[in-house]
Amino acid sequence: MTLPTGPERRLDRRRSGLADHTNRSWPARASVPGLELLLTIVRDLPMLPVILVAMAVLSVTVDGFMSAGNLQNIARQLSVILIAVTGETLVLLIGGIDLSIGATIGLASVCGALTMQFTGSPLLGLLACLATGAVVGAVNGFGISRGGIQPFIMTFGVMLTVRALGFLLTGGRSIGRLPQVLLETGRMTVAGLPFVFILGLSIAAAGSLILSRTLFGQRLYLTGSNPRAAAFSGIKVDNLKFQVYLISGTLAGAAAFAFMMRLGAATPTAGDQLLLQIIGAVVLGGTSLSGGEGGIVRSISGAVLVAILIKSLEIMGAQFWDQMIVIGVLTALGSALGAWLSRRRTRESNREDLAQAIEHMPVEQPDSTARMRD
Amino acid sequence: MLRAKSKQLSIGLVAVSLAALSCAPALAADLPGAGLTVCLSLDKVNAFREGELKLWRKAAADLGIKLVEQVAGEDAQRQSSQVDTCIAQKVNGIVSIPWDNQAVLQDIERAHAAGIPFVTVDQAPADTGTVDTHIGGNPTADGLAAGKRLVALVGDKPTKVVDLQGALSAVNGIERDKGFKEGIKGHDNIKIVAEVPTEWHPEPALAGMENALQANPDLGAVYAATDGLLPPIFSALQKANRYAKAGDPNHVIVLSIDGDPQGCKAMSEGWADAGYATPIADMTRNSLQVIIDMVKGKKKIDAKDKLQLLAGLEYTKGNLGDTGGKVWGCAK
Repeated sequence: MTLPTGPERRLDRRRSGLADHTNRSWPARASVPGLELLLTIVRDLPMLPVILVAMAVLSVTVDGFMSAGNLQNIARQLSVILIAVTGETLVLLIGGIDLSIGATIGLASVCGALTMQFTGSPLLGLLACLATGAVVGAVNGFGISRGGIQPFIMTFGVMLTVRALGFLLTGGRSIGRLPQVLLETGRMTVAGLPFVFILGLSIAAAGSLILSRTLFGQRLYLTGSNPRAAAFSGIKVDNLKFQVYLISGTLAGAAAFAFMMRLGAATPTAGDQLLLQIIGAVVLGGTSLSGGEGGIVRSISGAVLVAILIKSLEIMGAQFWDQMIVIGVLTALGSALGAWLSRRRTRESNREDLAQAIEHMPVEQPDSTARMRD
Repeated sequence: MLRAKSKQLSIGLVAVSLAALSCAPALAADLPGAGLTVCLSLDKVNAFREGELKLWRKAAADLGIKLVEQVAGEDAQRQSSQVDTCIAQKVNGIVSIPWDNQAVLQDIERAHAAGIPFVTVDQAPADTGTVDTHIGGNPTADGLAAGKRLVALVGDKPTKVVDLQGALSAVNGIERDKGFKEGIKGHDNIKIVAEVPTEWHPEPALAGMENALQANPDLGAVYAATDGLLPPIFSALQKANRYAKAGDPNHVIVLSIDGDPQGCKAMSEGWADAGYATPIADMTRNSLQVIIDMVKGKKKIDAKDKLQLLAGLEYTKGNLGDTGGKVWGCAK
């Protein structure tokens, strides 16, 4: 696959959060060493400095925050979310939304667990999870791209149906007694990092690379920014939407498998609390709900920030509702910051486009006789 | 003269205060659980859990135990992570109300690997053999008693019933439902016209009640797996003009489990007919005592004591004078 050039490439690099900004934006301050890098980071990954500051403060104020056990605990907790936010970010980038992601995790975990109980094979369990997720994703994609149903409505309907299916299959009960090898793999650490976290991070990293380095990724940004322009430029928007929902569903299946590795159980309610955490992490990271702007690295930063804050508040003994207030306020402030940075970027981008247009405008000689002729 | 008396009084007060202060640490150190830190991992927050939490705090204070409280917000992943935090903090014991009865098995295993006793309360893990002790109500017995009470109340009269179930992913939800159905078994005059899986939440209960009343205006009874569903029940009955006290021909029989303040109030005012109060004062205190016995007394819990199922106390308007003192929701 060849890397795109021209407008698609430029559009992506402006919006993806991984852009090279060396030749534009806040140029007056570029002369100060290191400042430009800092500004670029703040602009493209607004939560990264917040995470670094938070970690520095928490390492001093929260007893045991930087201990290996606590960091492993945070990493383990992030593993399922990392996989799920990857899918949700792709969907939000094309201007859609997938409300069924949590319910899909629940149903896929149930299907995977039942398969493993029946066959004893974790591999078949994984395939069952992925297949379940893919089917749900395909239904979403078909309804949205071919049926013209609004993503919110379609995925909401699918969420309710999928959740009900999970309950029908299990009678609402959790399923345990999964293969021992699955539980051991879930507990395993590699170089001090939990294996499930490495799995989640690898999937998110692969998603991020696909987004920033392939034509598929570029098309996705263009479709999210302006679907009509994308269609005019030859992108089959409906096909692309179908593919994105299919990927999101399949990743929900993968998240379900990670969930089972981590907890050793499956339940139709597995994703009930995950949906808001996933959307919260994506929005906090700075991916726009209106599409075309954001990226997986940003979503990861949102998820990491939420995870370290919740864990710190827990260690400090803050009550559950206090934790919710902190996360709620932070999400609102974080998305406000993201919106402000986005507006600033758009202004700069417009200014640049205008400057380029003026630069390339054919210079006409003033016709002094024209007015006289009129 | 007056000044001298006042001075004497002041000296006396200071001396008493100093004596009290010097005695206080000694008393605290003498408490059975002094020096122990116990992690309390709750599955969620609601009125019932608040009631339990209050009693846990009181029991911890009485026993001299330091409580570290964690609430999972109905999230199995979060609860598992909170247990990990407690293990990392090297607490002396973990007391948990698990949200997911299968997922908790992994938590128990990790705690035991770290040498930390693990006690579950209220909601049993899928395999009670894994936990050091499980202390809970007896959901099957409570449901059964409610079913039998309904049979006694209606006799041979044809009666349509709404069954407002709890969470069917939790043992309490499943067993309270099973027990109730067992209690009315063989009485064909009692017909369940709607089964509503409420997940312990009031919204589905309200919708289920409204639908059932619309389809069956002559509804005769409601069985609620938890007192938390009483407000939506009464709201739906009011809307359908069926909100009447016991004894009124328009009355709909209401039976519910928990014995929380809402249940106690509804009973004392005559809106409900029978309730089953979970003995949470004993449950909360016993859970901490088990940790003390295991850590300080080096006691190994016998297999027969590993499962403590305490049946609920039936209370009605008629016997509230005698039983009220034992119903936790009636406590002032």
